[in-house]
Parts: sequence; C-alpha cells; structure tokens
Amino acid sequence: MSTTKGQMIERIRRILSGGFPSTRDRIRDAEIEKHMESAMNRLLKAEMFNVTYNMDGDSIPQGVMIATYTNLPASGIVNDPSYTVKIPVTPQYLPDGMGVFKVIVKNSLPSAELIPIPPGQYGILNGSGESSSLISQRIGYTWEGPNVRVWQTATLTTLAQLFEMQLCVVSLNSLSSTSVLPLTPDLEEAVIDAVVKAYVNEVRTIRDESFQGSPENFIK
Amino acid sequence: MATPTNSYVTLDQIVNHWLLSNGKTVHNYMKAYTFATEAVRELSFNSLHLIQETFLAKPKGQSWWNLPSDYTDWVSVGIRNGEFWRPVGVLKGLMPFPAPHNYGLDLATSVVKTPSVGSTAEFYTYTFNLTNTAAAAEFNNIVTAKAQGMPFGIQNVLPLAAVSTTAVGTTGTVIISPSTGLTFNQTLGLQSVLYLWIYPIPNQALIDDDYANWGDEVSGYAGSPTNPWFTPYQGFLPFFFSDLYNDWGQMKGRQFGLGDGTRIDSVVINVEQGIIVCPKQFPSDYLYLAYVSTGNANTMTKIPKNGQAAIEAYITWKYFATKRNRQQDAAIAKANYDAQHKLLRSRNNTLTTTDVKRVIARGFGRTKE
Repeated sequence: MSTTKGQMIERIRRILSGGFPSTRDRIRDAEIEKHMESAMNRLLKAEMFNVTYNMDGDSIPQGVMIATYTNLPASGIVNDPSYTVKIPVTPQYLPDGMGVFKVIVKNSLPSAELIPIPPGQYGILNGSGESSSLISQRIGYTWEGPNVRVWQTATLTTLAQLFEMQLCVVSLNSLSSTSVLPLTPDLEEAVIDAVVKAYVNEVRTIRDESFQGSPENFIK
Repeated sequence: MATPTNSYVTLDQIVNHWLLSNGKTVHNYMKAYTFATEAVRELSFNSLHLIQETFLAKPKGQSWWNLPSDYTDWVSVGIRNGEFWRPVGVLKGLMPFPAPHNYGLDLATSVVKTPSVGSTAEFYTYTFNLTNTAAAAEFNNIVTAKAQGMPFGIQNVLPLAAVSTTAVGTTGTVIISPSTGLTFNQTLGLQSVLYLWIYPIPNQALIDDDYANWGDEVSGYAGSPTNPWFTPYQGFLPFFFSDLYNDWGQMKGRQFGLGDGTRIDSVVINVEQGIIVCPKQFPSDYLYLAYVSTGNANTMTKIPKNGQAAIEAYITWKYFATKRNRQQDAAIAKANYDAQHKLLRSRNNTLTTTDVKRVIARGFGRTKE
C-alpha cells in the first residue's frame, strides 16, 4: 500500500470538513502538511523505541525514517583544523546521535564513512593516548546544532568537497503531492488521528456560513 | 607447537565485526575502538604478545635513539648492511659514555658581517647568549668544530675562529674569518652556526646527505663513523670493525674480559630512561628494532586472529559495564570474556604431556615407554 502525500491530506480534509471539503475551507493544505510532518516524526520515533529498541534490542533505525540529502557544500577557513557542513533539515533526537545517521563525502567508498564523535569528546579523544590513533586514520565529525563539524584540515581541496548525509527525519517539503509518504500502513491512521486531534479543540474549524455562526458575516 | 601467527586481523576489522554482530551502527565505532585498544593493551601484557618492528633514527642533535613508547622488551636489534639487516649485540653492562649533546639550546642570535657590503667578507661576528651550562663549557670545542660544517667549498680548509667568552650568563661572540689567502665563497648566515650547534662533535659534523645516503655514497671525512668506504673485505667499514659478528652476521663468540663496554657494534637499552645508547663510534645512525609491545594499537595494527574473540568479548563487557542499568549484562559478558581469555591462553600454551615426555627423552637418550 502506498499512500501519497496528496491522498493523506485529502483524507484529513474530508474528516475536518465533515465529508464536504471545499476550496473555501479555512484550513489550507500546507497547514495540514506541517501537522502531518510533526505527527509522522513523533510516531516513527515512538515506533522505533517501542519496536526496534524494546522488542529487538537493536539500535539501527528502520530505513523508512531515513532521508538522504546530497550535494551539501562545506564551509570553513583554509588551514583551520576543521570545517562545517550545514545540516539541511534538523533531524530527530535519537540515542548516540543517530539522528545524523551517516555523513560521507559524495561518491566516496563506503569505507570512507566519517566516524561520529560526540560533542565535547574530540579533545578528549585527541589526548587519550592509545585511542587517539583513531584521529589520524579516520575522519570524524561532530554534530553541532545546525552543522556537522568535520575534523579534517580545511584546504581548498577539502572545502571543495560535496557531502552526502543521511538523516533520521521525515521532511515533507521535499515530497510532491504524488510522492509516496515514508510511512508504514499501520501508522497512517495514527497520523490522521493525530492531525485531526490537533484541530478538535479549535473553535469553528469549519467555516460556518450562517450569520449567527460567523460574526464577520454581519459586517458584510 | 607455537601458535601460528601468519593470520592476522586488524583492529579496524575487529571493531567493525563487533559492530556488525551486535547490530550497532558506526555511531558506536569510537567507543568500541577505545575498548578494543584497551583490550589489546591488557592482553598484550601476558596473553597476546605483540611483536612490533620499527626502524629508529637518531633525532638530530642526539647521540642516542628514543625507545618506542610501547616498548616492554627487546627481541632483536640490527643495523643495515647494504640490502640486509644484520644483528648487533645488546649489552647488559655499563652504558657507553654518550657523545656530547644538547648544545642546541644556545644558538647564535645574530651575525654581523664586516665589511657589511659585498657578497664576501673579511670576517663574521656571531653573537650568543650563553644560557646553557653544558653548551658554555664546550664553547671552545664547538667553535673549533664549526669549521667542518661550513659551506666554504674547499674541503679541509677551515676558517679561523676566535672565542670571546665561555661564561654562562654572558653574551659570547665568535669571530669567523677565512683562512689566510682565501675568501669565503658565499655569505654566511645564522644557519651556518645553527647547523654546527646541532652537531658539535668534530668527527660527527655531518651533513644531511650523510644521513640520507650513508652506505651509498662517499662524502665526508675519512674516519667519520658515518662515512663508509669500501675495504678489501666485503661490506662497508663499520661492519668490518665488529668484534661480535663476522661479515656474514654470524656470532664469532665472546672474548671474556676483553673490550667490555666498548664494543662499537653493540647497544645498551636503558628502559628507565627510555633510550638506546651506543658508543660514539657506532657504525649507524639507524637501528632496526623488534620488540615486545604493550599493545599501543592503531586501526591498522595486526593482531593474531586467535585473539579476536577475546578482544570482542572484552568490548562487549566494557560496553555494558559503562551503560546505565546494564550491570547484569556486564556480569555475564565479563564471564564470557574470562572464558575467551582462558581459551586464548590455552591456545597459546599447547605444551602437552607428550611434548614433555619427548623433551625428557631427548635429554636422556632412549627410554622405555
């Protein structure tokens, strides 16, 4: 079963409008989409903890929640010991910093995958004696807010590299309305419920055409 | 039968295998790697000796070699003879008197040319701040040595040097002038003296080429220990001088009471100081060293495969031991590690009762079963 973004929005609109969606509805598709996005990220993360962690004891997230971004440029100052790459979308918070799932120079070999180094640990690793040999042999990165800091000397060559990142996140911006959602079938209903629930407490979600229900009609 | 050591695995492979078999991502690589290096270190003390081989070079200005930081015991020491390594002795006696050293602390701070115009000069005045006791004491010798390293173009024609003072805490000057009837063929700079302060011993005034090409080229002064020349014997002079080994690297036997502590082809390993010293005439600035390592491993360190299971069990144990609420798992993993450790030790120690019987039999000749 593959539900597209447009289909999901359609289903939610239909519920919100009591079965009669109209172009005059006050709730716009973009708004529903953002609610959907939040709900999907929350549900997939909960699913991961419930199933992957608790039942299997594994820590590898399911592929459904991984999004790949390519052609990410590096920025920095030549001769600095490190440079940064901007993370295109803020990923989820997962154990071991797995929100940023993979960082690699575009088109490089799988073995050249960068090693994640938790924030604040690079200096410790550097001074740790025997373990510090890792630094000279593998390139590490640290996730720092909106950026990933790559622990490689910034040169004209290294700064010219393009990076590929895999992030644990659902970002609907990049999907067209006919794109299939990264959502398992069993979670579709939960997403719809979550979005509808967000609107339940809002007064007059559906445009009321009567004079009594809509004060602005008196003004007309 | 000794453990076969011809099958190796790198630490990187061990860590990756552990991640793979435990369903972990690269996010655990650093932690697992840290535990793996820890395991190699711990196991290397008793159960998993790692023999490292290295090629030591004397740092410039030093007359000794620095021991590798992970050194625990030596296996073999050698020097290069053409395309071969040949063994040198390791003495247990007194340390040879080391060559003077450490003059590099007091370098010339300025040099003034007189007259100041022109590419050549009548003389140069070098100024030193004499802060180093050892350097000041040897100031005269150093200045004498100066001549041999300066780029004058005419070998064995030395400039004249006049020393003003050798007292510590003062400013000393050295006036360098060309030999009678000659002129300097190039301008001298601070580098000219800097160079000599690093190599203050007259017969060790080496140039970089001596280090790079020794054994390949004759350039330098006759008799310099790093200036090889061919002799009627095969090989280079330094090996001819050996009194422990012949030219084929074969042990000639000992001469008790003779030449003790002065064998020029032997070294003394001083673990406490972390150095290997040799007599001044030792025929090489390079030393091949095979040693037992404490297991300072890096991702490319080759580890005998029979140690892999124990190292992985160690990672698992430590992984749980450092996690909150996983102490029970850690206890189980620790038991598993102990089992693997025992297995590793038993694999390395395969002496059977049959072996023991055979050893005894060999010692006593034929025996009845």
